Amino acid sequence: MNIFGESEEEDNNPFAGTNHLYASGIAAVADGEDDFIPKGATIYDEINKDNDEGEDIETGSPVDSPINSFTQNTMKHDLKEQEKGMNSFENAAPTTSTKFEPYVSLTMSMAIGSNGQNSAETPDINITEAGDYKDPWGKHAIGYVIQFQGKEVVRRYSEFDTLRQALIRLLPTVIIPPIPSKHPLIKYFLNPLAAENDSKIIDKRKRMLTSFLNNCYAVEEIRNQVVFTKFLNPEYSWPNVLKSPPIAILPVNNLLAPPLNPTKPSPLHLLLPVTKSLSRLDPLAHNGSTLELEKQFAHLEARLKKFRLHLDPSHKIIKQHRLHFHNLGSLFAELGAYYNAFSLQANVISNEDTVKAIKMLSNAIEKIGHGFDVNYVCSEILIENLLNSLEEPIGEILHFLEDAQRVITFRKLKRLQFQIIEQTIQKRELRIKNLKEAQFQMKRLQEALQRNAQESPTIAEAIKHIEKKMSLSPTDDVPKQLQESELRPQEEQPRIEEISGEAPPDRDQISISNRRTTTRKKNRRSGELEPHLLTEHERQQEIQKLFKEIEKLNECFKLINKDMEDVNKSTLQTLRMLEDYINRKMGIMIKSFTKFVINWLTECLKAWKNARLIVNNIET
Amino acid sequence: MGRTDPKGNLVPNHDRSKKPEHKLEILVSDPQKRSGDQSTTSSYVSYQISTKTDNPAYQKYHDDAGGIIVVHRRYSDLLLLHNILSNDHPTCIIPPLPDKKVFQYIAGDRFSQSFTQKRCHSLQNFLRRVANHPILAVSNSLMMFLVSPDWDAYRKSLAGHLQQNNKDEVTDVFMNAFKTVHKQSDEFVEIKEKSDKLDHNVAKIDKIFHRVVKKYDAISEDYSKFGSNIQDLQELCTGENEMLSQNLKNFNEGITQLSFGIRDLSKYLDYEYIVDLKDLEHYIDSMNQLIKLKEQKQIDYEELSEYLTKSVNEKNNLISGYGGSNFFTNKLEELAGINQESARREKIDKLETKINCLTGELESSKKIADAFEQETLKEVSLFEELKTKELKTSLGSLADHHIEFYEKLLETWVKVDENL
Repeated sequence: MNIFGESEEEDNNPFAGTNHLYASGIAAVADGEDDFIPKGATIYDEINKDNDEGEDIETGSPVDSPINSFTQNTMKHDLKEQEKGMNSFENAAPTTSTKFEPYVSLTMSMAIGSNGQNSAETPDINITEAGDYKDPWGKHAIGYVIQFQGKEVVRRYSEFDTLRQALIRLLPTVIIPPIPSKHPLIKYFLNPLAAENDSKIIDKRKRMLTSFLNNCYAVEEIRNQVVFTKFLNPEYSWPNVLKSPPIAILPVNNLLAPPLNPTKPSPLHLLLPVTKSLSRLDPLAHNGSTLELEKQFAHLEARLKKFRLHLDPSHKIIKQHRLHFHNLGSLFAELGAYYNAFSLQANVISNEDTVKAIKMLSNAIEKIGHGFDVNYVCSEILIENLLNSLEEPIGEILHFLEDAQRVITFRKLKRLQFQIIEQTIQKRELRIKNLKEAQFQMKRLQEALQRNAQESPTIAEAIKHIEKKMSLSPTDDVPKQLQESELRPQEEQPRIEEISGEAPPDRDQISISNRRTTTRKKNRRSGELEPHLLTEHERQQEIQKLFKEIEKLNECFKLINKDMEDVNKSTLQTLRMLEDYINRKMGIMIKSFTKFVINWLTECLKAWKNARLIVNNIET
Repeated sequence: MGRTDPKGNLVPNHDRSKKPEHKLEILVSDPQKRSGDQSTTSSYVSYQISTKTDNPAYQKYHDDAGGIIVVHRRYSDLLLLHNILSNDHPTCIIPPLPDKKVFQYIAGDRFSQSFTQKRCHSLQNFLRRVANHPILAVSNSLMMFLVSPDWDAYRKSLAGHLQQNNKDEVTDVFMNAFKTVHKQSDEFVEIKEKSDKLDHNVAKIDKIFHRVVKKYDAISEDYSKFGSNIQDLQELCTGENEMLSQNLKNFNEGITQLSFGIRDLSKYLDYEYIVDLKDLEHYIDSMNQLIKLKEQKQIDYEELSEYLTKSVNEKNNLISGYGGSNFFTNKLEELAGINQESARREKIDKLETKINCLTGELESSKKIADAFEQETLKEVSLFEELKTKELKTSLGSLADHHIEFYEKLLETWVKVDENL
């Protein structure tokens, strides 16, 4: 468990990177340097030593939860004991001062808290190290060493990014966990990421990428995705993975592929209509799913939206708060320094009588300064924990929610496809019905006319005239229309798009007839060509064509119906998972933050209680 | 040239080293806005001043067994008391009053809670310092101020008749500003140096605390906003995930308490601790003023002795011959028919009396300066003592408030943790 050793070291040196007195390490200040440790405080001292030892043992192996809970217990126990010690001490020797609490034990006990947090959820995948590494082309980059099932593989940030992009395309119905956002480009130019100087960003990425991998691993679809397993496998070179299937054979548009497996599209999928805007979606229609299901989706969507609505301001506030707290911390550090200076120069006149009182006073002032020092250290630790336990997870959830929006939109687009096909089938069937009716009526009319013509020569004359006209008009009409349509093919194109899926796979062969049908359709839409205006032959032809079309459409319908089922099932599952995740994560967040706050309060309280004791001892 | 303070007759009427015989505890509290009575049209803020003492002189004023005498005074009353005390006791470090804060009078928020609370605390500091001072504590004016129901009449009769010698002092100080003491005793050099450093440190800490208060306020604000967000989230979870909702509610409780706690702490720092620091700075100023006054006495003495040496030299010159005046003037005087010899004798006689007079003056001046120095030294060590006492209370209360803050929150958060 290398990672724990790492993080422990970090936590142990909260001054690193600051200008503080202890920046070079806490060990610089030895216990012995305190000039006012009284003899009477040995009992307290021993208790403290016991604590330190106990903590040492515990921090050595904070791997699994039983030990962890034990740690928590002993910590509480320690606290009680110390309080007890302090109390008894107060009673026994009120004139002596307490031991100067070394920073080491303080930071140790707080480090335990954070360690305990890490080990609470044993991660499947670890990023053990991050640092400069040379990729196979000799380019320098920051590599993250991923440890998974005993194997180690180095990947860089851009590879994580491409992995995520690939997953999004491979699994359009699954919410893909987020990765930390890219380093701003301008910053990159001004100050390229180097392993030495941007440890903060790299640490953050390390944490968040670990979380990304584990979140991915928790999702069954992603875990079983071959791309993901290849990513974790050191035998594969990532650029090659990107160039090979399944990534290489991904369809351009996921709407024209089976939603659960976009790399294996059936020919029919290519016939589906593609829309980009959702404006034509009828949100109230619940065809393709049940009313109940739609309600569930609407509810989930609304909830996730609300989560986003409330978490976004929280995220901002926490960020702001962290900055405020950081400023406060540095003020505490300053106060600590000035109180120390104050403690050395607290008197204006000194003589033999007052020398003792002066010493007590300066001790007390120093203790107060120490209280502020502890406040500073603790607030720095709290800030660090705040970042890890609240700010980053909330940011992660927000990104999750963003991605959820993508999945929801995909589902809506799919539904739109479904609706369009359904509507088209209905229209075609209606047209056939109309045509058939017209034919039937014409037949009846003709029969009636013929019957009448046998009796009346005028009517017979009129029929002749009609027939003549009938034989002329279509031949006049149709070519004109054809011409027209050929004149404006560009204009026609976008309107076709919606139904372009109707074109049979063998485009060359049917292109002409296709055009004809589309022309007709256009006319039909605008209501120009009423069924009774067509000749009988044309009607027959169209009916036949429509039957063929409907056949195809019905196949598509079957397909989209299945797609829809898949999409609904998968989307619902992934949204539910996200909801669960958010709920769970929030629970963990508040729990861990509570722990940190308690640690913070406990340490500060201890320091101030010590200060109070010394202040009491001032002789006036 | 030298101004001998008529009241600075330096009779050590009280022994400073001795602690005040009687306990005298004074509490200033409850600032209240009062609308003006008939005489004054404007409204003012009155402070309740409660005194608890075992001094028999006070006995007749408190009627009940509790022994607490309560009066109401306003800022100008305290100002008057301050003036009386500083006139009566020029050799004492008179504790400073809070600034008059003219700006607040103009801006009109002198009735705001923050203003009156701060002033109340500062007045408390003033009276406590007075009560702890062995000389000032037994002043009759103080007793009058603390107990008398006739204080108002007393004040009115005094009004206008009280000589303001503050101005006088200012010009004097200004005149002597460029003169420095030739022979400064080591003790005072040290005191000066140390008090400067002390002042510097306290001022720095004061400044940082101002910023700390601002930051605390911002953080408290952050938490209250965060709390309301949590509340929204909790409402969102109600009915969906009862456990999480309950947890969030718990958590929110903690956050709200944190926000309140920080606000309280910041208020304490702002209203009390910073005021303490400011008062300490002012107190140091007062002490420095006393030291200035002492230096003035010394300068007086030094100038006098210089003058005396000059006169003595002149006399010696006259006695030893013509050394003092030049040939030309002698000739002129001769021409004028002045008998040189008699004129010289006359001059010598004059100088003689002058020297005699000066020697007497010098002696008394020396006495004054020395006595003043002694007084000042005593006063400074008294200051040291009072300051230590004060620091003890103020640091103690700082620690107490922090302990209270952390203890309360720890309790809250442990409860939160248990409920999670």
